[in-house]
Amino acid sequence: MRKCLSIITALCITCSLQAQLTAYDLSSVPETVKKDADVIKRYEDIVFEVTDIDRASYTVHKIVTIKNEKGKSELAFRVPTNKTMLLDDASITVYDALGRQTNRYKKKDMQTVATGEGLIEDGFLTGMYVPAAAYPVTVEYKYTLRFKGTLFFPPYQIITPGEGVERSRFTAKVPKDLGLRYKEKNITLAPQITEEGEYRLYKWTVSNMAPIANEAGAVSTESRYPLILLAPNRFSYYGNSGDLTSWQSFGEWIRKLYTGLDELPEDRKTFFRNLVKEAPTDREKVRLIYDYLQKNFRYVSIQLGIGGLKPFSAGLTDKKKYGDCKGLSNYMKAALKAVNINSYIAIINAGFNSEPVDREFPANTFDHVILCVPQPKDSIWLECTNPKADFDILGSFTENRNALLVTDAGGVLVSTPASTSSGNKLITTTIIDLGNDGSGKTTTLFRSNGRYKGYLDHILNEKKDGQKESLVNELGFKQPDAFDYNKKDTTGLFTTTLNMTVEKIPEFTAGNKMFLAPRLHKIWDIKLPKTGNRKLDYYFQSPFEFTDTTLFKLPGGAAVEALPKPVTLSCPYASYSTAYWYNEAEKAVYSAASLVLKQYKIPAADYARVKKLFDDVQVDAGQRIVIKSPPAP
Amino acid sequence: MKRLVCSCLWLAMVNLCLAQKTLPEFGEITPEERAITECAFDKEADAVVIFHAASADYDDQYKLIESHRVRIKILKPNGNQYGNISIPYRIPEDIQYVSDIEAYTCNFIQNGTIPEIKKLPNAAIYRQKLNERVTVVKIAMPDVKVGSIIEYRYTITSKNFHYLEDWYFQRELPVMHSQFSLSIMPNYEFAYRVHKSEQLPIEIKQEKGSGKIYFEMNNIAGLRDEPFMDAEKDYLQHVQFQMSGYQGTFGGTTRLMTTWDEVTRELISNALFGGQLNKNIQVGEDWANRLKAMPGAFERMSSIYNFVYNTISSDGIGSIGAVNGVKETWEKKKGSTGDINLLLINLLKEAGLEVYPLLVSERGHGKVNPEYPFLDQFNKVMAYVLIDGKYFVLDAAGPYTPPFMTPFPVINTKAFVVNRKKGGIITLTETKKKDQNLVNINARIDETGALAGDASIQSNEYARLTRMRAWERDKERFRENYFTKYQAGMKMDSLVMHNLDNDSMPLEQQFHFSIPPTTSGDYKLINLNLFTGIAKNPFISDIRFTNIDYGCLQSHVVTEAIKLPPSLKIESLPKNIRMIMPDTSISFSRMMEVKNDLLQVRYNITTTRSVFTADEYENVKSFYKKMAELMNEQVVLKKPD
Repeated sequence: MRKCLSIITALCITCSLQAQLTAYDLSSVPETVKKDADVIKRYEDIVFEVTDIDRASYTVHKIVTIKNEKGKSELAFRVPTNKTMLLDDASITVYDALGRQTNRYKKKDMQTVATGEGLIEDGFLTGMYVPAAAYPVTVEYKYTLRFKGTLFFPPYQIITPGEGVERSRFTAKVPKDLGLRYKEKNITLAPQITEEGEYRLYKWTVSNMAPIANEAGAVSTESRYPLILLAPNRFSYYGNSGDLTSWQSFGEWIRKLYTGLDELPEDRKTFFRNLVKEAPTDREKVRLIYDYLQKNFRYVSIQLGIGGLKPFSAGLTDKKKYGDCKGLSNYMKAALKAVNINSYIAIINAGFNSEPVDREFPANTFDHVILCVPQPKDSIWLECTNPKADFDILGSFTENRNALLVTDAGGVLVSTPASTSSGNKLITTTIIDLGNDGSGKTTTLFRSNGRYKGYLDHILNEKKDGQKESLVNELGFKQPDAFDYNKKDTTGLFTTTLNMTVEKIPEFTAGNKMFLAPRLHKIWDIKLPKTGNRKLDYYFQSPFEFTDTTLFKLPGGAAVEALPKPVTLSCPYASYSTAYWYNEAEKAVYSAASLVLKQYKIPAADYARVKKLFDDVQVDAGQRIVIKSPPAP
Repeated sequence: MKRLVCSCLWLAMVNLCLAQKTLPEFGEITPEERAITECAFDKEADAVVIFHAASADYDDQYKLIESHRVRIKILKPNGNQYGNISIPYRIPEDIQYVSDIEAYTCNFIQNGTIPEIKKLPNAAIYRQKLNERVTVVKIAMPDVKVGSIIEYRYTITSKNFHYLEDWYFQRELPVMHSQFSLSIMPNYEFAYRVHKSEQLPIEIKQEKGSGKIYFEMNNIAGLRDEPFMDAEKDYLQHVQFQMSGYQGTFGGTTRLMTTWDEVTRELISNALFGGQLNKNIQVGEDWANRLKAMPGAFERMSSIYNFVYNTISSDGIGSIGAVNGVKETWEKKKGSTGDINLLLINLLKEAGLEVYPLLVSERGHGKVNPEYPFLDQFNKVMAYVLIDGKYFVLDAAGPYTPPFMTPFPVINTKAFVVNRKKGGIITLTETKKKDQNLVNINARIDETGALAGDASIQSNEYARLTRMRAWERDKERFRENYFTKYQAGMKMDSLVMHNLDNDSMPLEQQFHFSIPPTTSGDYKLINLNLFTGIAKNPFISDIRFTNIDYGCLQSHVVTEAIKLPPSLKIESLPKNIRMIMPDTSISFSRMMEVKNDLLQVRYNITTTRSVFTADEYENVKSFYKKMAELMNEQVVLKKPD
């Protein structure tokens, strides 16, 4: 009997919900909101409540209509969880186009899987993929996350790519004595601030927002879509309380985490003193120790609990000869300390298209650690995590942004060096001995630094088949019948050589004419995203400088019939030029090219010109050198 | 009491057997091992497994207890990654548990003469729960560099012998020595099956009457990924186990799955397989009436397949049998691959169709050997429907495939029909339906040498499916991958897709395109290799270990009609040519003809076979290389002097 009753109540509830949901018909949504949207956020009510310095909760009630296949990522419900962030409860209800409930899921229907890129982490993702028979489909999500610790305040993510918003509200409720700070990003939207006993409430409301077009190659979405950043004034993280009202005070909190961890045992100190005793300058000493670190330590990521922010001690790292970015930077610091060189841990946000952190809004948006060695003139910057990184050259991973130096006086926000094209050079010189039958023996010398050093060195460590694939598929070389690729010991630029035997050098042969590509590899082989009416800046991976000289030594009796037209293209951000000539004495055709990108961030307004230049470079590669073979004897 | 005695006896024998191959003690490094600087039989290897030895035994509760020892030497800087070790096991703890973990790194100091051993502290052993079913022991070995030897050992205890895993002699890294010894519980019988290459010797020692068996292989090169490769498992040297019977308390042996008939019986009586086949699923009266109104069996089958495919989603778990059961799958609208297809079989049955479960092994999973009735040869169940003597294979838990086509992943495989009367091994082939593209181009060249015109491409059968998926995934990339990549500077101004919703019609792609002129001196070069599917040779590697398996046959025909400008004359035209593999398995032809001012071109690439063995690699590779060269030959035009 009891069972019967519960069925009846269940039925009733279903009926009432259905009645309510007929309002979710898309016809009520304004045209501007739904026109270009794949997903429409119909209703959203998020409440972030800080109970005290150790506890907070985040409750979401949201209803979305997914219009088509492109919006299906919205059907993947996933919540990150770990020891300080727990999923309390969750339910998902699915409605079809007519507003009829078709399914309902609870937390027990969801799966929890470990996440993270590191070897060992304690983070999970809990969630499920919501089945949808057809589009449009409406899904109602309800869940609560419980935070232990208050270092991270979730932002109010107002709108995401492909999404239109009908109604959304975000409430932050904090004890008055703790308060919070907020900052609008890419939107002007003031909160309504009220008080409720011991609490202060901040309420942001939006309605009827049209989707914002997504553009390929732009800065990361979190840096360009409207959102409200939130941050605590005072916080607690695994029982360590701190103050985030200034960079100085946050740096001070980090300093405490690192305190006492940069001390090496006496014998190891002696080892480092001996290692650098011949070095004339501090800069040389740093270089020697950095070189030792790169050769003897490997990167292993272990992020457990407070260990996500606090490194292993230098002594432990020394024993294991591995560590993550914090551990290795802290170790480097300890080794420098042993030889009386002062250095600072530098906390930073990594990624080539990351924006610098906002100077005016102290918050913990960092995910990486490097080391800064102050010098009378320019500081030395060390990427301690990458065994292949150049001494004192930061890659596009950490260049051009703000790092928080952890000093004895607390945190100091400083800029990391700007990337330069001369820091990312690739100079290639190829000599081709062309046979009468079109076959050839070739030698290419690569001289590089920065990004390209990293890449050419990576190929060096690949197996032979992998090397061949990189050379043919990525650098665009002709498929060789035999080849070897080796490192050449030189001072200055990183140098490697490639020797190949190629069955057919010409692109094709017609009658007694050979049609040769202007060079043996592709100087530029990436198609930039379409122009449209670009609104966002475009980010290359880094600025660069490519220089190529290719020399075709002609077989006896062969003559040049036509050389490609030289080209000079330029715009304020990039330039391209080619030249071709025949050297009678050497019986050789010279083909020279240079392609320079001066800065990696291209303002949206100038993107079309830059794209045009790079498109033209690709078309120009279709020009041919025409060689006439001697008549057959 | 009897059991205990048995165990003791067994233990004694185990000791005897271990004498078969003596390995150095844990932590004892031999001078030969110290001297290794490269792997003699796999010279490019980043690291080498000096040995992996394991023995599987049982305790008095008949738990399966496996002890493993692995010793690895790091040979190159890239080999440092092998200092990070993962040992996955099933949870909860009473199913499997990894214990007794010990590990060390050995480096040679004082000019590489003195071994220095750094033991791994217990605190550096982590356990990470991956999901509800798997936990991984993770170890970062200390002080790993080129020349280091690392060794670790552990015991993995499993609830029972069902968790006995196949033994792989081969892996990504080359292996100098691999041994596995297995002691079978009394009263149980296991069947095994060795997969190995003919050139590599294996040592198998079996003790008469004891059920103890020992396998050993030596000097096996590492296996790597290759393009168009089928299942890795088919090439790895390994031995497979399956329980084949047990003796009852009062004597008499019960045979388990030693014949296909026994496999069928076992499956039919299994609650998660046979027990799921006749669940009365309440789809509703509407549905039943609609089905009844359909005249043909094929129509009914199609509509049930489409219904299940569109209604039920996969929860990401792959299984042969049911996991949640078909009833729950129907209610929640999601389930494992087994749940979904068993539900499909239920509905087909209810609609009066002749349908059987079909166990399949997708190409990526491995080949089925019909001589061995091993269940783990299969990775999925599909529906096998017979209508008027024709068969149909349906998979509602994979990528969409129209019911009249065999799902791509099971073409060229053997499958097993589960039915007492009509069951058995069948071979799934597909010789009629192909990966078929028909390209038609009408264009003109202007005086500057620029080419502009219209293209119409019909993608049929498997090509239709591939392109449909690519189109749905990313429309921008579709344009790039199938069209604009053929020529730098190509512009497409429109793209109209026809028959997107009609399964039985080719997917038609129509657009207008233009290509800027390419000039070299007085010459204008015209690229005719447009939208053909062949621009580059996919086979770059010098050697190949695995078969090339395209899945299905290919047929690409490109016809072009190109109007030439009066002001330019043809300087040279690529030759008419036909190339064919000695056994006619791949053929290529190119015809060019000029009539007045019209250049007519026809390319034809056809295969009559979809699988090529590793031995044929050299031929296939040079065929493709030559073909890519020919395809890239251009028409040369010139202004008359």
